[in-house]
Amino acid sequence: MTYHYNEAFENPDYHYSETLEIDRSRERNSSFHQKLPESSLDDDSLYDSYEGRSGRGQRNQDYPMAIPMASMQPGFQYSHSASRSAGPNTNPYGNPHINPSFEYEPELAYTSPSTFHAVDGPYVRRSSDVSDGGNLNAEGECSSELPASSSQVAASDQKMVFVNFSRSSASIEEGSFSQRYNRRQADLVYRMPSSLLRLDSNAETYNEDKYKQEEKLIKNLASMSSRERVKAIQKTPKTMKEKRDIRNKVLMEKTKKSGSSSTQINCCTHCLYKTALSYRRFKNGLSEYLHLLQLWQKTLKVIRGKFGTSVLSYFVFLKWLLTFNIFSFLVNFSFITIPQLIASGPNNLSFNGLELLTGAGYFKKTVLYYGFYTNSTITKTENNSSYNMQLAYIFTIGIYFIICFFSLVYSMAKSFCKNFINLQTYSGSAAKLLCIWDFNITNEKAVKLKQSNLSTQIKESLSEVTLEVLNLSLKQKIARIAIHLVVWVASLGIAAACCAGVYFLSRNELQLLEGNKSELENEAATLVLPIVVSLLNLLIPFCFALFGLIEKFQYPRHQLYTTIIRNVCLKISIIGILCYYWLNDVATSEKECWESLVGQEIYRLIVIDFIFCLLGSFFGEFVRRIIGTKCCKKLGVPEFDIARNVLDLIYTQTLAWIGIFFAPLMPAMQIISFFIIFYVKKVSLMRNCQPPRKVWRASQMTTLFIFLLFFPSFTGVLSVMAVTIWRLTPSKQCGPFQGLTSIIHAVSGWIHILDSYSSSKWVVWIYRNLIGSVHFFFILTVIVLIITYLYWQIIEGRKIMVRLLHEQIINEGKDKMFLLNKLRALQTSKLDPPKGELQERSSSSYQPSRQAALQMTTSLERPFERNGRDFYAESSFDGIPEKTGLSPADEEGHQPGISETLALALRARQQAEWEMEDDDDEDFRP
Amino acid sequence: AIALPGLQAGVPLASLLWQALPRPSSALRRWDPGGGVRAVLALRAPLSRAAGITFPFSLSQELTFLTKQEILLAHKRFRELLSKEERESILQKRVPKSKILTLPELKANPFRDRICRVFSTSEDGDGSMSFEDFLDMLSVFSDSATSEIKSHYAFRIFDFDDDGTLDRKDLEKLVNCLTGEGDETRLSESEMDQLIQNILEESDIDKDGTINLSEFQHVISRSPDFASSFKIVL
Repeated sequence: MTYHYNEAFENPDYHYSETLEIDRSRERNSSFHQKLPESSLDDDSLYDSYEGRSGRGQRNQDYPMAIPMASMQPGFQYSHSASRSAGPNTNPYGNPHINPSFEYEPELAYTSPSTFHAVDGPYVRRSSDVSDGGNLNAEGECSSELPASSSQVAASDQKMVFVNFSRSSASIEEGSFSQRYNRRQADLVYRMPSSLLRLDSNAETYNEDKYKQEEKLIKNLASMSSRERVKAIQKTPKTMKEKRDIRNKVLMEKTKKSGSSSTQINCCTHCLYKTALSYRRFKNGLSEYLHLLQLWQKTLKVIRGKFGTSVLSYFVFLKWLLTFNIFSFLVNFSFITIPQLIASGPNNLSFNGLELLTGAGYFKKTVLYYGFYTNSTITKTENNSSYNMQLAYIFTIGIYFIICFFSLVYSMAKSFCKNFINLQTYSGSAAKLLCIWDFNITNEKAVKLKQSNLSTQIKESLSEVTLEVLNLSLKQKIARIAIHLVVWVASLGIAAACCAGVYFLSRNELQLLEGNKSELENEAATLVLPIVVSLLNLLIPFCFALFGLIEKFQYPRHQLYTTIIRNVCLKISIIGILCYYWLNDVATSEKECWESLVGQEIYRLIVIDFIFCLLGSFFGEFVRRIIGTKCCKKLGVPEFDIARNVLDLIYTQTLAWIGIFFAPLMPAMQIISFFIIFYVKKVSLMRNCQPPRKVWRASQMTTLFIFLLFFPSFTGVLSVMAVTIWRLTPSKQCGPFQGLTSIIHAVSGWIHILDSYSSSKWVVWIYRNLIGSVHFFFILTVIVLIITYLYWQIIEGRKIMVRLLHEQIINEGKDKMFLLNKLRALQTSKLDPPKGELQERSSSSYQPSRQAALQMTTSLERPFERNGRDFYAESSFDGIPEKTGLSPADEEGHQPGISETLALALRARQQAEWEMEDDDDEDFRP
Repeated sequence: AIALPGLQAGVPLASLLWQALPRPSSALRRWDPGGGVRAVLALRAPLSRAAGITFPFSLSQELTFLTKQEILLAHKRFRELLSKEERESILQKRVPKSKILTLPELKANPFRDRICRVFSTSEDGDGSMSFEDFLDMLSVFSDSATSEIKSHYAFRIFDFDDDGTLDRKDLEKLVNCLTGEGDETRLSESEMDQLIQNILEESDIDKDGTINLSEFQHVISRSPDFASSFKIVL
């Protein structure tokens, strides 16, 4: 018969259909108390996994229990096999240690229902599952002590039970079980009536509480907006079936709620609903296509699989820069170039291949350079609409830089707050092991390599710990510092020398251009400077790497950072000196169209640097591998130098940013070169390199690189732009700003014109009072400083809070240990074994450490709870019996049982608290 | 009409959802002069049917962190694991662990057995996976999963004996997985002891000799690389 019913309910369609749920929800309220056994139904598969683990099946002490005769239960066989299968459900990740502070569990004291919030703590909420598991032990067992007579009652109740059971599908934790273990239901039913019969009021209140919690959770979810709800459900660490059950129930709740009001749906809400839906659909569709647009998904996956996250970060960075350039190209092309193309005439200059390298010649009279753009307003004759090139040029570039600024600041802040929070606490590396494995790596060889690298690393770090104890003598320390100083001076000296060389070379070249030579010679001569600069950029970093061998850093990280800083110094100072040369010498040299000259120089620098980058990966990786594998085996296969490559990217990007003003189509160049670099690097990496041996903190380093891109690079570019726009005189014969004393006058002139129109007064007002006024920026700065200060203070406060909480946790731990020791002592001092276990059990209800739990005997599921019931039946619970104390004095009392144990535990806790308070006094009040 | 018992629970709901989803409105259909909309609609249905996809995408999308493309890809990959006859009823079938582990994404992973075990809902504990389990796994390992849920599952993967805490034995197994089982890479006993001691010292806040979930998550929260490295993409 039971099977018959089960089969009927096995149909999940019936089980889950929403309409049926709604129908059934009416029943629910009438048969509320019959919710009771459903937990026993589904969760008793927990039984075995917790068997003998009193640390976990803790809260069963208050239920009547029989001698463990679980094997007599019909469902027993299944339980064993299913204990594992319960998988995500059975396992005790309900955060068993969430309560280190000896607070009463609601289940224990039966006072108030604890409130669980699904969204706040999915892990916390699951503790109710665990307690269920505990319960079930009791319930499952008590079924075996069922007197035969009760089974008749049970039989009559069975139908009811099924009603419950079917509904249980909708309940959160259990639902999936019912579906998954359909087969087991018949057996389970045997057990259920017994628990139905158990009229233990405490258990009932408990179950009601639990039910209420579920209700609350569902209500919580139902009250959220759909987006929040989806997020919250996604976040719950459960299987899909369970999640679906939650969702179904929530939806049911919603329809129930809105059911009354649904009749009043008017046209407006319907319309809104439709728009929302179509918006969602549009978004989904868009994301589908955006997904197709994602570049290089496959390639990146291959790299990730073979080289791990660290090398991947280089390629991701490259891709990120590429998007910057694509955006800037689109903006420049559409707002500056297209209008100019409409207005411009034909180009008469001849084209001979070399221009691709030098950027001069034919390109001079193309939209590539500043000089080609006109200062006139482009007017279409038909409809009198005009386009002011001056304003278009300055606003496009200005707005592009503003957008760049904010996106850089945003990504920097995001990455910073994600990756740099409170790192100092875990400077030690041992705990890092817990999360060191890179699950991305799928290549078998790479896995082997990674494992052996990890092994050597661990061994090294273990020996380092012992080495660090040996302190260096004063002499050695001084020697080290001296070496560092010397190397620093040397590297800075090299950078300075490079800068001086570049400066004189470029001045020389300027004079050379003035000399009258053939055009081809002139063009070839212009290539000298970029080649020298690129050579310096390529060779000096190797020199710095050699310095690293002389200096012996204690941590490889320090070496990495110093090398990066030196390289950045070199590259930025070279760019700086070039900028100085452009703005100071070229701009004042009375040349025709100096802006275009600067643009050409930047063009050459970028092109030559690109070529050197290709050569670099050829010689640095390919030839190096040949040498490493064929000639000098000791060198081995090279590794991909992430830092050097990323710095190269930052260098070129800086140049490209500077170039945007002088050559608006520079981003196009950059796009092409990045594309090629990506593929070249990828091939070179796959062919020549091996995965990095050392740990590369990818996210931290990425943050650092974004910061570098922002701080010396982007801010430097901004200052160069500011000087160009505010200070320099644009060339007289070419470019959009010809004839003005400075570029910014284009804007101020425009504002002046606007002033005469009354309709655009607000623009003038904004310009005068916000953009052009010092006071405004002063106030803005002050506000930003104040906000920064406030946040600083908040951070400081939180640090103190964290410290205090940490101390508290440690104290609680001590507290726990103390209690455990007391109880254990008590246990051993007692002769009567059941009693001893009794105390252990009660201690376990306080969630002791697992160590203790393991030490306990496995025969804990003993029938002492019957006494405990009496205690709760009295359940005055108005105080702790002083008499019991920590000594077994009250042993012969008429109620030896859980009451005593509880009291003992409570007393112990009190004592511990007093002790802790003393501790606290010392700890917290200096 | 869709008979997918494995997912039947979702089907009525999903069909409701499908109905709720906006279609080209009736006005549009009426207006549709070239029949373009109709053509697209007519094209769509057999296409999805041909792909064997009668799967409530919106529902799976709602319950997991995966996008539609990812689910489609997962579906494709999972189908490839099944034999031809089984492909008809992909949603009911379980793929045995040995087959799951032939996926290149898992093949070399030292934690592959644990991954299967943690995500499998199989009754016999053999680590076999249904399509839903598979989606669950991919969801946790996807890019957009939160780091809390990632750390939760990482903890379960590392908890080799499924007892809810990482004790010394778990840590030992974990380290062995990390360093490989080979003789030359394996740590000696004293090294292992020292290492585990170090780990516990740093991460066991309440000093009970084991690492529990919250302590583990605490460690993870200090390691920003975790979210990007705890990732498996098909």
